[in-house]
Amino acid sequence: MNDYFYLDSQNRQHGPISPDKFAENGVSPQTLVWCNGMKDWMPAESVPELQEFFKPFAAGPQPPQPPHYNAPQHEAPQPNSYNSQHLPPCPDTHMVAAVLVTICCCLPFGIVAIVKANQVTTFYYQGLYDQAVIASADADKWVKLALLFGVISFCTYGGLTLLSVL
Amino acid sequence: MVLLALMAAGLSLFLLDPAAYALMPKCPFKLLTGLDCPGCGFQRAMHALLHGRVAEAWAFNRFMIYSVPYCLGLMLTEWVWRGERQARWRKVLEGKVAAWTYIVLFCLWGVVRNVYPQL
Repeated sequence: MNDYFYLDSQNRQHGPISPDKFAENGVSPQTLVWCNGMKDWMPAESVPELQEFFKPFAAGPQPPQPPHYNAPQHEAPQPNSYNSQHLPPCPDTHMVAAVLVTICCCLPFGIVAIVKANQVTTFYYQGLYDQAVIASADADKWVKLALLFGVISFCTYGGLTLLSVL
Repeated sequence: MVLLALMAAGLSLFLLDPAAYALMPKCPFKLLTGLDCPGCGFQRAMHALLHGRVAEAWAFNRFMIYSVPYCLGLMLTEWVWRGERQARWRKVLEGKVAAWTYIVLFCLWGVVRNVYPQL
C-alpha cells in the first residue's frame, strides 16, 4: 500500500501518510489525495487502491461530513490550481513583480527577490512544497522591501526638489 | 494589484516625458552613487517605446531588448496561461538558468554601461 499526500481544507499539502492513518488525520473519501505514480490529485474514494479502505464509509450510515471536508473541491478553480494536474498548486512565485522592481531600480532587493522567486519554482518542481511556500513568502517580502525603498527614495527626492524649487 | 499599478505606470509613461519633469521618479542608485544602474533610462525608454520610437528606446537602455520580452513572457506565464503550457513555461522562464542569466546580464550591463558610457 502506498503512502499518500493529501490536501487539507486550505489546500495545503500534508503527508505522505499511510492510508490507515487517514481517519486520525481527517482524510475523508472526498479529500484530494496523491501518491507517486498518480497523474492527478483525486478524491480518496476514487483511487482504486483506497476504495476498499473506504468501504466502511459507504456501507454503514455515513456521518455528516463537516463542511470543510469538501473545501478542496470548491477551492479547485482558484488561480493556482490549474497546475494540480500533477502537483498541488504552485505557490505564487512573485517573479513578475521581482523582475519589475529590479528594472525599476531598487537593485539589491530586487535581485534577492528574483533569486527567491526562482527558488519557488525550483523547490516546487522538486516536490519540496513546504520550501516553495517559504521561498514564495520571502520573494514577496523582498519585492515589498524593494518597493518601499523605491517609494522612500522617490519621496525624499521629490521633497528635496520641491524645497529647492520653492 | 500589480496589474493596476502597471497600467497606471504605463499610462503615465505614455503621457509624460520623464526627461521633462523634475518630479518623475528618479533612480535612487544614481542619486546615491552618480553611476548609471542597469535600469537607468528605463522610463525614458518606455516612453519612447510607447510612442513607437524603438531606436530611441534602444539607445536609452540596451538591456530592455532582453528584459522587456522576458518580462512579457513572465506575465503571460503567470497571468494568462494555465495548465500544461503554464507549467512548461514556468520551468523555462523561472528556472535556475533563466533567472541567473537575467541576474548576470543585468549586472554585466550595469558594469559595461558605466565603463563605456558612449554605448
